[in-house]
Amino acid sequence: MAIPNVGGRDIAQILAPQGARRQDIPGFGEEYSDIVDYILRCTHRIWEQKDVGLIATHYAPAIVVHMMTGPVFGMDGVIAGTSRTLSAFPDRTLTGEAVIWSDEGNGAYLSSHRITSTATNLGTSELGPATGKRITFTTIADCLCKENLIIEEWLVRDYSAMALELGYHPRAVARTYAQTDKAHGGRADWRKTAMERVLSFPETAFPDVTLPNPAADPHAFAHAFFDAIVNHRRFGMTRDAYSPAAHWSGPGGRRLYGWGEIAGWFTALIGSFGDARISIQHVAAVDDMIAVRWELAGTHDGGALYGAASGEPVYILAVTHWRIAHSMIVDEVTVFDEIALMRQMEGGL
Amino acid sequence: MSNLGRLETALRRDRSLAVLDDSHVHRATREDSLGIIKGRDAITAAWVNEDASDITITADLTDIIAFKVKSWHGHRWVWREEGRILREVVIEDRCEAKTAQPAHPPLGELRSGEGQYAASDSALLPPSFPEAARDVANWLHQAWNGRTFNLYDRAWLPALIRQLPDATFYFEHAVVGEKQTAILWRVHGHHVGGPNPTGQRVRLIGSSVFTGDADETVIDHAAMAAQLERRTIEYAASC
Repeated sequence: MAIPNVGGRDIAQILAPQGARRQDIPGFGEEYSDIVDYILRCTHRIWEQKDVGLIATHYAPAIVVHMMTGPVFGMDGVIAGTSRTLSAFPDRTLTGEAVIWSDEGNGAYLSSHRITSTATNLGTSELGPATGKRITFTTIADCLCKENLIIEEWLVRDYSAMALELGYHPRAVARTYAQTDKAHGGRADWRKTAMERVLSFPETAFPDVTLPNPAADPHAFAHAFFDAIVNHRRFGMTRDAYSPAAHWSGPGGRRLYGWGEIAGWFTALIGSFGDARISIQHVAAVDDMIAVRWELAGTHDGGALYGAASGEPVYILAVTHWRIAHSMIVDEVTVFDEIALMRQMEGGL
Repeated sequence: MSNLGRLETALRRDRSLAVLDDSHVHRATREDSLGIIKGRDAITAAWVNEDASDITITADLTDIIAFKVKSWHGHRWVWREEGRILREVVIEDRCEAKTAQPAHPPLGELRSGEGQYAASDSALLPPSFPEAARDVANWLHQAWNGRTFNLYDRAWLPALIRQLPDATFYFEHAVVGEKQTAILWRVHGHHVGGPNPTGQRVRLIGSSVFTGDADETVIDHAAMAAQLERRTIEYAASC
């Protein structure tokens, strides 16, 4: 039986009881019809219905949540973090834009869940004191789920867009955090390990080939895309990958249109981190959508995106969602935490 | 009148905003030349700010309507999902000042990879662009990007290009009706011409409905003025 995604359904249809199981998901609660339903419904229950305690039945006790500010270990940390965010943004809505999932075998599923949130900042947040402002921001949560529990999560949120909307300066927020980091001993071990992991991948041969068709082989396309366009700096191949009318959304609330601006993004990324390498952590594809989780390691040696070079080594954890039509990318959303990135440039994390 | 025409009338004349609950999906977006708002709630909130007014639908091609309110013109383009509006693009040329939110510094070039080549004979069109609208797009490309002004003798075109000398027009979408063809396009250019150049990259959405050779073309002049004054987001360490 086909598993409906977000597309084509209004919220009332999405949250209405879905009836009998549409997918064999052993160990998941009877209220969940399939993996997409599990993700959308438990998000609604925990965040919008404020049943934060349900995290105990939906997260493994030994959960690891990977973020650009470092990993958080244990379910208690997830409950505390959720409570803090809901205190700062009590009316936060979490609109599911896509749930791009994959079957990982042995009853495990990976869900890449893109969320548009609108929320009023009524309490102190990670970014500063309450502002009373109503903001909209994007989050992507990659969750590895098994038997009703999220056992590992990779969470990326557009914190710089949040700061800009709230009226805070992203660099100033980053600097404040970095000062605390420096007082606690400088670069964290987790970041050194992550950067070594990215840089340890062997270099590939020059990609003198056309890109695979993303509709036919999304995994091969994703790997070839980042290998050619980023790791081998063939920025012009954006014209092979994207529709000339493609829309691109990125960190800091950036919105680009068409080949020239999108090629400009990749040029500026390498113009900021001249020795950058990217490696792909995971690819999932459903219907016309592809989710790619990737990491970047490099040196902040250029001023294209983040001001004058700091010379600091940097690490990015990002998730990209593509929508494909006519074998081309027509929509992209890429999310990573630019405040955590600038915190690294200020000597933190 | 199409559903879209009836919706526009219900919203503007009757102010029956509850119709949005059925017409739009909850995650619908609305884009104009100054940005995007996300969610049916945000779209409803934007309608609350509109005063009641009479409206005349001047063109109705089901997924794009042209309308006149008081003394100004507007076009609304929609994309639907199972009958409900998922995305709308609105171009309104109203005689009232607007404010643009700060923007990141511009990225990339306007004519991707073309270098010193002159504008080609045919427009660069997305694969989804309707076959029946390609001749119109190619004609506009020659007139607008190729600067063949005698092919399209309208005062707004050279006036815009004098302000944005590298203005590049992109053809995004089209709808072909029985007697009319509507083209959704964008223009990006750098404000380095005219009396007080700011150097800003201007990014506007435009819309044209052709009936034969005659067209009703709308761009948001207030959005352009607002973009010339907008602040640039600065990430530099000195901030």
